[in-house]
Amino acid sequence: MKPVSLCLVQMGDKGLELVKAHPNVLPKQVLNELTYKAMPMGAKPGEFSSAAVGDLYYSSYVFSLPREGTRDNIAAIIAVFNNMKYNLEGIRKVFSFIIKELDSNKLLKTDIVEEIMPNLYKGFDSGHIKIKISSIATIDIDFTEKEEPEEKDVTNDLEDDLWK
Amino acid sequence: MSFLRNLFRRRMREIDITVCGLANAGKTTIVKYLETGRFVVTQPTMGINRGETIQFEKLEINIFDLGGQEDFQILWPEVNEKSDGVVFVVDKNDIMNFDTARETFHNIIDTQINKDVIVLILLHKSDIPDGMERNRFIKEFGLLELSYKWACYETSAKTGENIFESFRWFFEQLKDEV
Repeated sequence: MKPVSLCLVQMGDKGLELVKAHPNVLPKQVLNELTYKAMPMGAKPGEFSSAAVGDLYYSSYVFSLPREGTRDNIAAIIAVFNNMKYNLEGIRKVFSFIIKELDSNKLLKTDIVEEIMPNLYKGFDSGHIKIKISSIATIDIDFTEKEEPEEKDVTNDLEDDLWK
Repeated sequence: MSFLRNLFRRRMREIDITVCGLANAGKTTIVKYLETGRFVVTQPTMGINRGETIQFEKLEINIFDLGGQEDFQILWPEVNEKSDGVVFVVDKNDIMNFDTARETFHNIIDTQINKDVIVLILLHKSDIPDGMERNRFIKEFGLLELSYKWACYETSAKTGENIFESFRWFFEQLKDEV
């Protein structure tokens, strides 16, 4: 379940802005479109959505980003894939768990989410995410991808039968 | 029974109001205060929030809370054109953006609303000391030259100061005008 890229979007002074894409491999046009699609009109923290941008597919998780001295901001973390064969529920669980853990450790900040994105990206590939978020806190998630059973090839069965 | 319900419904009038202002002026917090009667912590509005419908005497009031970021302001004209009343919220402590707020307000007044629309201006976050004083604000914001029916209140969604009072005035005007 390796994403093409992970992106972080937040509300800026003028509107939504892309904070970081890791790895930064997507064309600017796709990133612009993704920035607005990943946080649709009326989006609220805790919402998870999936859709397509051009030939790519994404899932995004909207969350509240605490800020000192002013109101909380709104942000979204997005995983972009080049096909639809990924574990939607797994992505939702990982994103919500990580955001919840960071928040409960008072570490839910833009720079910290940016910092953990490379580890998160690697973790999606291996199915095991281990991120040290402070000297005392480590996020450790094991998730196994639920692969859809491959369709049986009728000709192979026939071949097996023939050999029996 | 259904006849009575239909008769009652017919006597209710549905109106739309919009709540505009720069980002972080406190628009959503005001709407939430109206809905719940208490201060609620909010996040930036993603485009447009359709608030709860509020009943005031024979009015059913639909509130459209508009996101204040520059990118969302392109959505405002379409909503404001159909609006019966506009609430414009200004953060009284945000002196840096005072000119932008005034420009944005006059753009709404000059290009986005009908002539019979009621305008309520809220000089918000009055719980924070300092900030612009109301009389000076009315003069410098160019309210004295307005040809609309308007009122300006100092409000706070933290203390509740003037929230219900200002909207009572607003709804009373809407009841008579619309």
